[in-house]
Amino acid sequence: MPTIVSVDDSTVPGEGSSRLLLLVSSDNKHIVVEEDIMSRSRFISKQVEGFEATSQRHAILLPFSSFVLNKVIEYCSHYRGYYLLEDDPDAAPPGRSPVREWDQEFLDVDRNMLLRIIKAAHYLEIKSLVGSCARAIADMIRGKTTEEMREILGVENDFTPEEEHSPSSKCTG
Amino acid sequence: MDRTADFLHQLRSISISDTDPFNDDGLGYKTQLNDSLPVSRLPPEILEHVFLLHAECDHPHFILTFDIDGKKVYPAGIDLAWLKATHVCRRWRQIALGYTELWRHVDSALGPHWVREMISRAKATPLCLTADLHSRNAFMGDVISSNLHNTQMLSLVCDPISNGTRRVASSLFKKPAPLLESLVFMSHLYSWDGAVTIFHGGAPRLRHLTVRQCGVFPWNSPVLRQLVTLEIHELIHPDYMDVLVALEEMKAVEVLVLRSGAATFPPWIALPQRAGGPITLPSLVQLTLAGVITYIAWILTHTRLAKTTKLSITCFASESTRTDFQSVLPVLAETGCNLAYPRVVYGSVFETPWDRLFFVRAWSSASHPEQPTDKPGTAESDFHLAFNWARGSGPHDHLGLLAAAHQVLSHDGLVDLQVGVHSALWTPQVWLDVFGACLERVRGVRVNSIAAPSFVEALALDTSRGGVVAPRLASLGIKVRFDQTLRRGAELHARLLRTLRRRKARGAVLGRLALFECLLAETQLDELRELVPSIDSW
Repeated sequence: MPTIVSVDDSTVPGEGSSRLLLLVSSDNKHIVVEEDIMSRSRFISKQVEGFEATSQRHAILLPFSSFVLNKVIEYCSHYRGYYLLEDDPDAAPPGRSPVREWDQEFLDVDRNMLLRIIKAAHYLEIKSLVGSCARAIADMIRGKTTEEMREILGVENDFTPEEEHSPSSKCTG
Repeated sequence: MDRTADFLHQLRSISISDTDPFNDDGLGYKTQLNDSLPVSRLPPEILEHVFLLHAECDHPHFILTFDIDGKKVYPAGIDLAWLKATHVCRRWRQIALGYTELWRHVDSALGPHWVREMISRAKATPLCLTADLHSRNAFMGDVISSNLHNTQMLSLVCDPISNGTRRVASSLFKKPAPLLESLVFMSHLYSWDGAVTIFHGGAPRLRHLTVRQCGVFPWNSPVLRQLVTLEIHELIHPDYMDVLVALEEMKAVEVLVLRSGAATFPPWIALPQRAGGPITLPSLVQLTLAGVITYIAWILTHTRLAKTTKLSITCFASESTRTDFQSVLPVLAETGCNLAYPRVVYGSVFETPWDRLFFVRAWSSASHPEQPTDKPGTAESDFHLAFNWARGSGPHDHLGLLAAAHQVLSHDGLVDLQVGVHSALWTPQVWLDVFGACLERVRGVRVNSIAAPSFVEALALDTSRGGVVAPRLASLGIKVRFDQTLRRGAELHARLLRTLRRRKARGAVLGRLALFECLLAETQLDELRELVPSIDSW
């Protein structure tokens, strides 16, 4: 759970037509963003509902860097006002994540950044972004050999020889 | 995060064989190293999501058996490429093995060992089973039977030869299938047991049903009432009244595909008269009908479709049904030609192998599925138009077709003109009439070898009269495409192009005429001399 600290209204001007939120990243950067933009995040929406219940506004501390947070905000800004089925809490989950061209360009980042974004999206409960990131990772490893997958993700082979060559690990019918 | 990455980098640079702090193989170390990686710190549900997307393209699709020299060949097995991801490291394998969703797509081509293994790994997750019930896959009968209660999607091909597999299929449809949502059943010469309605109503969730060549379909099955998608491909025509009675009950159906094979001509079956008004199918989004033309017309007459219903019709007609054809033209025109239904896709009436059968392939298209979509002018208002008919069609047909064509041509859309005329009736003058009606809107012309002579003669005739057609086509950059059924196809095309280059043809029109000339000279000259007496003077 994030740490929530009280802030005064001068820090977070929230009386306009589009209220503002103060997000604080793990590297202690304060980022002000319109509430409307972040409404795609179930996590943020729940926080805001909490604010309304207590009539107190807070900054929301998030456990990832401002660099990652800005990427997530960029995503949310792009889809501001768009309806994405995956993010609709009342809709049945789609059978498969749709391919969105803009997302593919947006996620054309290095491996570590991609992993950080998906983790942040998961934390913030932005299902559409999680789905797009997962698709990007799946595309990254699709068609690759096991060894190539290990290389791409920097993973070591930690199987014992017995585990690796057990008959049940092969599937050729 | 950056410091962690540096640390990991340093760790990685240390030779594992040098350190080996945990055991002889350094496996514990590697596992710890893996655990500290960003990818490993992803929550399991994200990795599951990745695996699912990775597996998405690799799920075994239905593999049909095929014949080579009369000998049946079956696929030896399926290599599930996504399984490689489960070999990357222990954690990935652990997550994949625990994620039952990954293992639920099971195909008989995997063989008995892996079919059972995957089903066991899927645990209670509803299964998607695909089986070709030929004799080598006899084990699948038992597998499906014992898992039908937990099957969500089932695709079956029934061996046309083996009675055993047909019995298996038949017995399956008598069992309850409480979770089944989709059933695809393909067979040859298989007849449903008329007394057996599908699953005895024991498939309350069944919404999508596709049946191919099952012989006689149980149109009285109560399961039809709950369907959203119904696709029937039969070799013989069903009892029309049964179909209509069933349709009357199918209020939820959104996609309906009824395809019947070519009717056995002659004799023609007299269609029953039905009392009462047309049936309304309120949810219908797409209706596809294929069969004898009068049958199509009969269905259309007895159903009321929403204006947004996408309609696709393919009709078979014969000389013996010429009169019928004439009588149903207004029905087809109502649905297809006058754009009462703005989203009508296309309709075609095409030939049967009988020499005396006429052959029309007409009409409209918002976006014809067989046409390339990268061409300009593929907006919904575009039109696709094709004429074909066979030798032997009489003037009566000819006039009827022209009347139908006129309705299409009178619309404002663009026109793709495909002509495969097999009749002396399609004279050069007809070409010019057609061009006269739609030349400004033509965006493509496709001619087969049979229609080529009259097309060339039409151009020659047009040129002799001062010529508007050829210059117009040239100015629009329209290339006349030859049908690939030309006798020597691509090889001939290549040779023609080489010949053209040698001759250094001057203009686009001359080039096309020269193309025809080469075509005629090298392939069918004698035959074409008979059809086009003026050919030697070109």
